Amino acid sequence: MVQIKLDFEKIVLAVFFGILIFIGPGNLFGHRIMHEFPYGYYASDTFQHQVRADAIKDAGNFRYEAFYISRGLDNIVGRYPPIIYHIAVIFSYASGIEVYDAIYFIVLFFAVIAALVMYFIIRDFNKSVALISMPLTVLMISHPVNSLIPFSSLNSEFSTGFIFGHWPSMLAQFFLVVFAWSMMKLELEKSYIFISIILISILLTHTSEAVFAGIFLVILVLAKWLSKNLSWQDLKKIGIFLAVSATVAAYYLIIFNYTWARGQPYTFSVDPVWNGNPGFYIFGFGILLIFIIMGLIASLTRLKKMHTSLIFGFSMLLAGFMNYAGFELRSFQIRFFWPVYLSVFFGFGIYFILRLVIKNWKMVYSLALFAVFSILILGIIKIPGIAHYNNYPNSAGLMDQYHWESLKWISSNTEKNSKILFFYGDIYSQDALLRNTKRFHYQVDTDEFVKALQEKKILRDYISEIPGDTGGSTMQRTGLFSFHDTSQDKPKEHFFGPHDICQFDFLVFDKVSGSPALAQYDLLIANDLLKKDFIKIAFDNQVVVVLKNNKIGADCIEERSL
Amino acid sequence: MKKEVYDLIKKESVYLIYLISLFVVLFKIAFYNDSFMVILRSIFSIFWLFIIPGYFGMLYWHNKLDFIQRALIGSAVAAGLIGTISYYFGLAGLNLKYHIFILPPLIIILGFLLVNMKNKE
Repeated sequence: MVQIKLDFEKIVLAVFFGILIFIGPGNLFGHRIMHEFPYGYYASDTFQHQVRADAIKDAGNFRYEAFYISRGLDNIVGRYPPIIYHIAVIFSYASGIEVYDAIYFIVLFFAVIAALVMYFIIRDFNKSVALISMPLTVLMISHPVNSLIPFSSLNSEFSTGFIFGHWPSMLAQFFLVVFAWSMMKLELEKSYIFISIILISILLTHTSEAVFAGIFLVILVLAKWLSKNLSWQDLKKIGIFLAVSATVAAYYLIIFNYTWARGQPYTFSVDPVWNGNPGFYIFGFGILLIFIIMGLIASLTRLKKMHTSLIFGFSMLLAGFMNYAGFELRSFQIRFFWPVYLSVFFGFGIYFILRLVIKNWKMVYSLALFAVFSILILGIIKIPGIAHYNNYPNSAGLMDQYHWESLKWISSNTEKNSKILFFYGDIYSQDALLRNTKRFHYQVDTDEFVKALQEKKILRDYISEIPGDTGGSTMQRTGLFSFHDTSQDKPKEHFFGPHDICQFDFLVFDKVSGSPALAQYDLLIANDLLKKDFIKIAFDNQVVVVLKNNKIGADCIEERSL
Repeated sequence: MKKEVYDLIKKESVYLIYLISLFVVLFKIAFYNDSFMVILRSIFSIFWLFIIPGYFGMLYWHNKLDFIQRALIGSAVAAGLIGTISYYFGLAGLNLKYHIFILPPLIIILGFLLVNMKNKE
C-alpha cells in the first residue's frame, strides 16, 4: 500500500514537472531549445547577460569585462556575479547549443526545479499541504497573470523576470529556495557542506539575494531560539557555513565591494510602484490571495513551532515588500518568485479551513484539490478573479534573423579595432544587443537624430553615445584592495556628444522601421555617403545595410538641407 | 568502497536511467519542434553537468534523504560548484572549454571521498 502511494506521488511530480517544462521554456522558446538567433529576448538586459556569457566563452575566463561591453575601456575587472555565465558557457559547450539559448534555458530549467524543491520543503511540513500548494507555482511562468481584480493596472507580471532578463536574480532565487531546504535539513551530519555551497552560489549568482537569505536565516534562528529548538550544534554549523562561504566568495566580494556596493549604495526610499517596469503586485493573485491570507493567519496558530516552510514564506513575503524600505528593484525581483514562496500559505490556508470541517482527512482529497487548482490556475477553466496562466506571445521577441545576420557579420568580418556607428533602428534602443558586434561602437542619439530630421538637415556630426554597461561602474583593478574608475580619465564628450561620422570604419543603417520617416532618413544619409568612392556597401540584406569607410577622416558627406 | 554504498549505487543507477527516460519523453513533448539529437544532447548535458555529479555529491546523506531529493538538491549543489570552481579555475588560467571534462568528474570524486570518509568514521 505504501509503495502504491509513493509511486503515485512520483507520477504527480513527473506530470507536474512535464507541465512546467511545457508551459515554461517550451512555450517561451516556441517549443525549441535551439534557435537561429536569440529567441524570446524582450529587453536590453537579456542581451546584456547573453553577450557577457559569450564574451566569457571567447576569453575562457571572467577576469575582465570585454571592451565592447565596457564602452571601449580595456582591462575592466569582471564585476558581475559570475556563476550564471560560467554555467551557461559550460552547458553550451556540453550541449552544442549556442550561448544565447544555453543561458536562457538554464534559468528557466532551474526555475522549474525550484518549484519541485519547494514541494519537498512543504512536504516536510505536511504532504497534503504540499500537494495543494503546488499548482500556485505555475504562475511563476505566466505571461501575464490574468485576474480581473481591483488595482488591475498594478497586477500581472511574473514573466518579466524571464523575458526582461532578470536572469541572475532568478537563478539566485532558485539557490535561495534550495538554501531554505538546506536550512530545514540543518540537523543532518555535516550539513554545513551543502549549505556552504548553496550560500556561495547565491553570493556568486546575484549577491543581493544573499541579503534575503540572511533575513530568512535570522528569522529562522530567532524562531528556533524562541521555541527552544536552537542547539549549540546548530549555531556551530551556522558559524561554519557562514565562515566557509565568506572565505570562498572573498575574491569576488572584494570586487563587489569596490564596484556595486559603492556604485549603488543603499539609500532609504519608499517605492510602492516599480516605475518603468511591469512588476507584480500582491493583488495580482486575485481571489487566490484570500487563500494565501488564510494560510498566513493559520500559520500564526503555529507560532511556537513554526515549520521552516512557513518561516521561509514569511521571510520572502517581507523581502518582497522591502521596496518600502529602500530595496527598490531587488524587492520587486523577489516577487517574481512569490508563487513559489507563498505557495505554502496557499496550500495551508485551504487545508486548514477544510480540516475544520473534515475531521477524517484522506490523501485523495488533497489530490482532488491539486487537480482542481491545477485546472483553474493553468487556465483550462477560466474563472474571472482567479489568477491563471497565460501563454507567452507567439513572437521571437526583439531580435530577427536580419538584424542577427548583420551583427554576426560585423563580429566575424571586421578588424577587431574597427569603430562602428549605428544610425537609427527600432530595436537599437535596447542597446545591449549592439554588443553582439563585439566591436567598439557608438549609436546616434535618437532625440537628436529626430531633431535633425525635423530640421531637414543632413549633418556630418551627430550627437552619439557609447552605449556600454556602466552598472556598478567600470573599474580597473590596480591592487588587491585598490580600484580605479578609468571612465573618469576621458572627457564626458567621449561618451556622449557630437561625433564626426567620417571617423567610423563601419556605419550601420536600418532600411525599415515602424517610423518610416526615420528609415527614409537613414537611407538618405547612407545614399549621400555612397556618393563618395571610398565608401562601399560591405553588408546588405532586406533590413540592414552596413557601409565601409575606406578613408577614415576624409570628407565623407556634404552637410545640406533636405 | 563499502558494499552497502556499492549496492546502493547499483540500485539507484536504474533510477537514474528511469529519470533520463522521463526527461527524454517530457522534453520531446515540450520541445517538439526540435530534433531528437538536440534534445538528447541537452538532456545528457543536464545529467553530465548537474544531476549525476549532484547525485554523487549528495551520496553521503543517502541514509537520510531519498533518491529524488538527493537528485534535485544535488543538481543545485553541482550547478553551484561547477559555477564557482569554473570561475576560479578560469581566473587561474584554465580555459573554460576544458571545464566540462574536468569539473563533473571532480565533483563525483569529491562525493566518493566524502562517502568513504563516512564509512571510515
